[in-house]
Amino acid sequence: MSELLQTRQPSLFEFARAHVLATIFGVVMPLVVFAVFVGYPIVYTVVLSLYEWNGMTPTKTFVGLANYQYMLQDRYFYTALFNNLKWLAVTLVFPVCLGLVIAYGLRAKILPFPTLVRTVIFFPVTMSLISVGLMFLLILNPLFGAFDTLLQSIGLGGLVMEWFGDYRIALYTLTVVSGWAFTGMPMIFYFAGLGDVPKDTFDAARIEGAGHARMLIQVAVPQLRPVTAVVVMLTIFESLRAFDLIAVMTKGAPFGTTNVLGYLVYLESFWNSRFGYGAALSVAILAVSVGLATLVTRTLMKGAFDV
Amino acid sequence: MAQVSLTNIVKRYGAHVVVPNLDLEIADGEFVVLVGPSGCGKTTTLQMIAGLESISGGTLRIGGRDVTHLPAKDRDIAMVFQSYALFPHMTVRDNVNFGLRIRRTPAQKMEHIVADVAERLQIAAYLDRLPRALSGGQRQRVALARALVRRPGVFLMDEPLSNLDAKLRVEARSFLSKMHHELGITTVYVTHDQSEAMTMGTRIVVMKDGIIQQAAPPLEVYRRPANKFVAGFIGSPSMNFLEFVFDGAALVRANTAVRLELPEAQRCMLRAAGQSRITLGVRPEHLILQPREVSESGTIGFQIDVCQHLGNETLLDLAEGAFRAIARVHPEEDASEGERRQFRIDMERAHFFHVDTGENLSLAPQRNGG
Repeated sequence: MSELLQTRQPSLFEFARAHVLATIFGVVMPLVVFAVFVGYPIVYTVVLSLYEWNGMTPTKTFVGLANYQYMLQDRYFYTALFNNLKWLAVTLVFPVCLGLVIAYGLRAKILPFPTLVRTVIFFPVTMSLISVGLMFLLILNPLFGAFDTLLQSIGLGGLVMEWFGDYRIALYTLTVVSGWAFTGMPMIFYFAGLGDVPKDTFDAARIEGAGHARMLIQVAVPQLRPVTAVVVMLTIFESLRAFDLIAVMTKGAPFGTTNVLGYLVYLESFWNSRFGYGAALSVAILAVSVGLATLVTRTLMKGAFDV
Repeated sequence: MAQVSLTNIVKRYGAHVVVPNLDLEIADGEFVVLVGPSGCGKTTTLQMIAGLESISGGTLRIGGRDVTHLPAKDRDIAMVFQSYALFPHMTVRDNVNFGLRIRRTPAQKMEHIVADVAERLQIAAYLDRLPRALSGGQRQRVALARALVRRPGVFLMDEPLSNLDAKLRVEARSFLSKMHHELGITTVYVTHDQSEAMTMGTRIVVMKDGIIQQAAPPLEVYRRPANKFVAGFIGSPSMNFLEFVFDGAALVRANTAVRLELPEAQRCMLRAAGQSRITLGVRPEHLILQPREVSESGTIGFQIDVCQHLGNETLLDLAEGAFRAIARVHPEEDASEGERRQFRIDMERAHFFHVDTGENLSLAPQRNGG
């Protein structure tokens, strides 16, 4: 008995010696894989951002923080950064809120054919964004696109716009297309999360006189904070990683107004052969991601799991 | 305050009928307890009254108004849930005034009502706390306060005490009864705990398979159970059931010397019922331990398997062949495990049930007479 009470946790090395296979396959190998495929590229990108390199010559020129200094004065960088933030804002409002409402509608049995709805909404998540982009290029084509024809046929021809040509709306067109493809993700998360919210709290709210809007906003959303934290985090990463749709649909046009950081990295590195500057932009994406993720962790996630 | 009237209420889930045809009149101010084993349809019935479950057939009236197809919020009801269903992210105050806020009650009036109810339920000190900072008993009172502030016509309670520990449950029981006496709000209370049903209800409705077995005041249900199911369900420990043959004068058991003489009234009743095989129902307190020197005539012998000393009483687990029974005796009674003793049955208070239908034969003539 006294021996049992005195048992202490084995040290890391004692544990490793006792469980050689578990240590190799469970700890060492994942760490090696992580170091090679995640750690090394990050470190290499940070190092590369301190050089000037055209991607072909064997030598690189060390320039210190010059790439960063240039970045802070580069108006294309700011356009791209703000476009990323706009992308994030639209994504948080449109697909995330829509996903939540659809998930609530499915749980509250308001929507008909729930399985069909769930499948249809989630299906685009499984599609490649390249094919989504190509598909919407056709749908929104100003000459023969289905969308404009549809608007005209129902008498809303006045709403037809240059979806990609107008610099004021081109970015939002992209975010809406991206939202169409992304809605299924928050929907599935919220659908699962709503399953964990006690049904009694909805019943109690109903009896007290709450309608669906109030139940969603005052009962469901506050209890879904842990899910929201995860969804917002995913949305941040998804928005900052935006690249595919721009590459397929606008290539930054018109006049670079639809550039985002991810596409700018590609342009600077592969078109302008400035790999050092491209790396500095990548580090900026990393910094913005870490900053926003920290903000989410400190605000949304704080106390989210106490309720 | 309002009366509740359920007429030919039916609940179906597809082809599965949960409540086949339920009729129940609940008077204004009554405290009715729906009681029965799991799956008997009592919670479904409560939820149909609440508007949380749709009604497949029949009519539900609350306060004379047909509310069969009205949404929950328009039925003038409030409900206390087994889990309390408090909103975990809202303070006690916001939980309590949730319904008032929806009804756009003026802030000052709302504050006044909440303070009054909080005072009455002794939660005034916790109004700014979150539910997770409260004990089970306090949470239960908050749930009650939320239901009370709107002064509903009907109070619905779905096993509100089952998450409390035994001591708190006894306190909460008397608290709820006192509150009902003070406010006189019509209350429908669901429980599977027969002791809650006995102590709280002005009327008990015993249900099984969606059918009302008996609806009567608690002591009436205890003393005059309508059938074997009710007799076995109400009372703790349960009633003992022993099968006998009625030979026209006494109860006998085949291949044994047991012969229990019956009072004249019961002999007549059994003769009128025309049953030779009957199930005798005896409450544990009506199985009376006999002194050791008493002869065996008119008594029945049991082996005492276990003595459960509860302090204020002793329960004896008895066995006689295939028979199993429990007797409730005085704690000072001299009985020990393993010994064989004679017991007398208080025939005046015994019940006689139909072997097949379970119907209480002693009630049959009165039912026929209206």
